[in-house]
Amino acid sequence: MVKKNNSNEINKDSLDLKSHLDASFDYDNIKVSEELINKTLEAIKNSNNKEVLEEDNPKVTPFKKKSNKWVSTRRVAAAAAVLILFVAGYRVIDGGLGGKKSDQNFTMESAKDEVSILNKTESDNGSVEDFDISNTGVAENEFNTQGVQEEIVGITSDTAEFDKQDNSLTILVANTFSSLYSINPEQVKELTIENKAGVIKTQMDTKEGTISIINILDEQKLTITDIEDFEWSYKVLILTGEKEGLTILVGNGIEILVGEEASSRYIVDDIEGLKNKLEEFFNTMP
Amino acid sequence: MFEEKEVYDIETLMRKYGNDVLRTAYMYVKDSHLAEDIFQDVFIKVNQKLSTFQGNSSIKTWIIRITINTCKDYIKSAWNQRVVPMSEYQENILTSDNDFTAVEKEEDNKIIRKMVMDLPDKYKDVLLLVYYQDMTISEAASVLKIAEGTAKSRLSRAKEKLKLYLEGRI
Repeated sequence: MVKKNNSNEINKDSLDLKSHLDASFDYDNIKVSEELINKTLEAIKNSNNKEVLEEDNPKVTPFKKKSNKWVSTRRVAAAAAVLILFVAGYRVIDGGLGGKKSDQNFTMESAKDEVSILNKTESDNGSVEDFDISNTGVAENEFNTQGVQEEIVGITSDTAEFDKQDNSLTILVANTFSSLYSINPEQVKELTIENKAGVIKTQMDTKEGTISIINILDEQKLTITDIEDFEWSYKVLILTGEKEGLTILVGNGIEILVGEEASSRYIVDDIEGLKNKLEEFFNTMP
Repeated sequence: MFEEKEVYDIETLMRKYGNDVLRTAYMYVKDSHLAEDIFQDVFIKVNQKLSTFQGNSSIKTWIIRITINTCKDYIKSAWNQRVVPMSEYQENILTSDNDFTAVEKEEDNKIIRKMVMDLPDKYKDVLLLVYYQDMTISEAASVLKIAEGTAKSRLSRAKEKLKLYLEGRI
């Protein structure tokens, strides 16, 4: 038997937290009711029945991954990011590293256009993962998943313009927020920010607010990381539809969630600077 | 001597540890209806995984670990953040002067609860496990999968923060 009050045990102080909390819960009637127990037992029973059904009829009720268009959207976004990297890299190699500063305007808009084109095609076709990028000058590179030839997507809209640009894309926009995540500020329906104290503010002018947030994030370069100990200080929720949008957690790094799926964590060069800017923005919100 | 593996009945577990689960969930999701949803999820998981429970910790510790993980998964999901829970604080209707004392005390309890709920998760985790669930530092560290030293320092920091928050309020 393990002695409860071992040497590591901290002497419970005079605050008597448990009794305060319990009294508060009792007062607000936050306790398990018979109804809740019965509902839960019912839910457990249904859950058991479902499992039995799945075991008995694997063909009738096959395991199906939770339908979530965001999963495929993320794949497409990732493929688009790779595409942008590749095209930009190709341009750099093809044209040398020199160039005019004015030509760096390729950056976000072109990247976003490409991502949005890909996303659009994906939504039109369900799971298009086959891109012919011949018009970008890298025809020999084709992403072909499972041999599915559902539709060939030609990135044509920006090609002419793109070709006129000087080859000075230099080093890439692919690791900025905008290049990884495509958000059209015009389509944002809800923008809220929560700080770690639990204060939630909603931006009324969603377009202006979204642009500001994107600008703040784009000042940093995002480098993917696998840190586990993540604490957020600000939670930015940008919704473009009922179940569409991004959650951006900013703390000791950045975590970006697309829809209901956990996405990626990043580190940035100046996280404190980013948090300060977010705080400034947060403070300006009504 | 062989020790027989204890057989647990889900309803018994619900009745015995239900309040711990529900109230712990409430401290994270800050809404009683959401806490009830978490409660259901937790006991569905407990029922599903009961056969895999090894008995390395107490059954309560195991259930609370599932509760905290479920809450964190829930909080992490963007869509659950869209609905801002209505404040559940009710206005007190004072019918006589004698009610003031009781109300005042209740307000103190609510302030303490709010302060604990508003702590950053890493401090709240360890504070709730040790002070509310009566776990040892070692048990809390095991539930949270952190080193005992880390748990101890977080607890100490949590207490400092709480005292700081409460200074002058009560």
